[in-house]
Amino acid sequence: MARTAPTWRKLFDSWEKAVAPGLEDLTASSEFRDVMALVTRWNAAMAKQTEQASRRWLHLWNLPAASDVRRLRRQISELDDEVAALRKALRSAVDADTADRLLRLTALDVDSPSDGFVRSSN
Amino acid sequence: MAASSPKPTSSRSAPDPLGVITKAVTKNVKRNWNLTRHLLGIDRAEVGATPRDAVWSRGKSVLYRYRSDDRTVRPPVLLVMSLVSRAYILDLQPGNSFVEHLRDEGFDVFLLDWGIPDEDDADNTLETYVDNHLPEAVAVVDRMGDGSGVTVFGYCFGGLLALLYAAGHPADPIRNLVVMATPVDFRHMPPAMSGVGTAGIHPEDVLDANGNVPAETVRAGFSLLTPTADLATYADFWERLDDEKFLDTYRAMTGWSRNHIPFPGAAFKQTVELFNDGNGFVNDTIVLGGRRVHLSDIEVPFLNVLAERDHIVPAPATLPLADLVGSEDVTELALPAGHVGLIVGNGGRTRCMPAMSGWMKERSDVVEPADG
Repeated sequence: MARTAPTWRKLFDSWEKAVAPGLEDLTASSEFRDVMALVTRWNAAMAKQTEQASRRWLHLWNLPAASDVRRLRRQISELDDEVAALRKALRSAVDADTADRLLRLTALDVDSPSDGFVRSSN
Repeated sequence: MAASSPKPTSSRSAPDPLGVITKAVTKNVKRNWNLTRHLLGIDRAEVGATPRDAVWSRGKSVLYRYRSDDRTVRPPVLLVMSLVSRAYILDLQPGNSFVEHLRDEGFDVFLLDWGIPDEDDADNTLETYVDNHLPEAVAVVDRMGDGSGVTVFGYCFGGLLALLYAAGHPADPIRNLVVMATPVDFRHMPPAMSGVGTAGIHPEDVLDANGNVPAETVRAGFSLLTPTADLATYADFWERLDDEKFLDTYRAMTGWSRNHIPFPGAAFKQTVELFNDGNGFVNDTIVLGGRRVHLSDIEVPFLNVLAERDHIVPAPATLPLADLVGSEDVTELALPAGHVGLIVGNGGRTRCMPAMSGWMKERSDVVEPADG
């Protein structure tokens, strides 16, 4: 049986029908985009200043800041990518058995958890 | 003498006051019970439930293969998801799942899930996905599908990645290419999507301390497209609080639409430069990994699926695609749905999914079932 919309819902739908197109036009306007550009720039500047201040404070006490940890993680990530690229290059340069043997010898084992694993999910 | 028959009762009998009261009380108890459960977070939607195995990974990207005892269609299908949305939309709920539909049609279904990027992934460029992860995933799928090739299927931004990959790697074993709700002509994208770039917001200003576009910013971008949509969703929730089936789907859908993932910073800046500013597909100016990428190099059978009521990727933003690819077998499928309605809900299940799987099946081989 089809549901009959309650009165409050009919009122809401009428309100939305009247208001939504105007709001959509507003958020699509170039003026709105300019305001958003200003707000995001201001937000970014504030975040940068806060981060710089807290980093200086932590460095004063010889403590690592979040940005230091992030930098280290990125470096590790880059190393991971390099290892993956080396593994790929090695596999395409020599036959599969030799590649696997070399990878094990150089600790770039094919069964490393970051590449080529098989596990159940559900 | 004939036996006397009972007098016919009037079909418009007066409503039973006790029945009306009982019905109203029951309904309100149910509403309050459901509301309490919702607020306490007791009920969680079961999403992404189709059984699967992870068969390959690189960084955060994981390739899943869905289990099936009835893989009768070759080549396998590789679903490529967007970088900013959770992949489980393709396998939302049992009975409401594109993955389930393909599996039941006999396809060997794989899903490439890019995962949730963090600061490790801030330097991931489009090449990371298009030139590294996708070719490796396709090679794995091809191997597991007995070398019959792969039908690559990209959704939304995943379609854009699939196009870049197919155009940049024409020698790879791609048998068919399907893209769905994929932006190509960025002049027709809504300002909330295309407003970042030389004409508006500077891409660097959108990045957080991790170097990625935060998930909240991605969500805000989508919300700006339809500013009253969230309120309408709450109204739907309140109106149908006594409808268990509706609530289950509501939880799954709102959970997905409010749960975006960060956009890797380097890939985002590249997207803005190549597409928002350069409209690279249409102007044929894309350079990836130091080499030019032309959509005209795509020569495999090609299906472009567009949603007629799509407010995120409007039809005009995806229409030029058919003329840009170099395939001789090109099909354009315009379906009466929204961006997500293509693969979710009644319309998706009854109209859109069969149309897409039918096209793929026509360009595939039917084989004897293999062991799952």
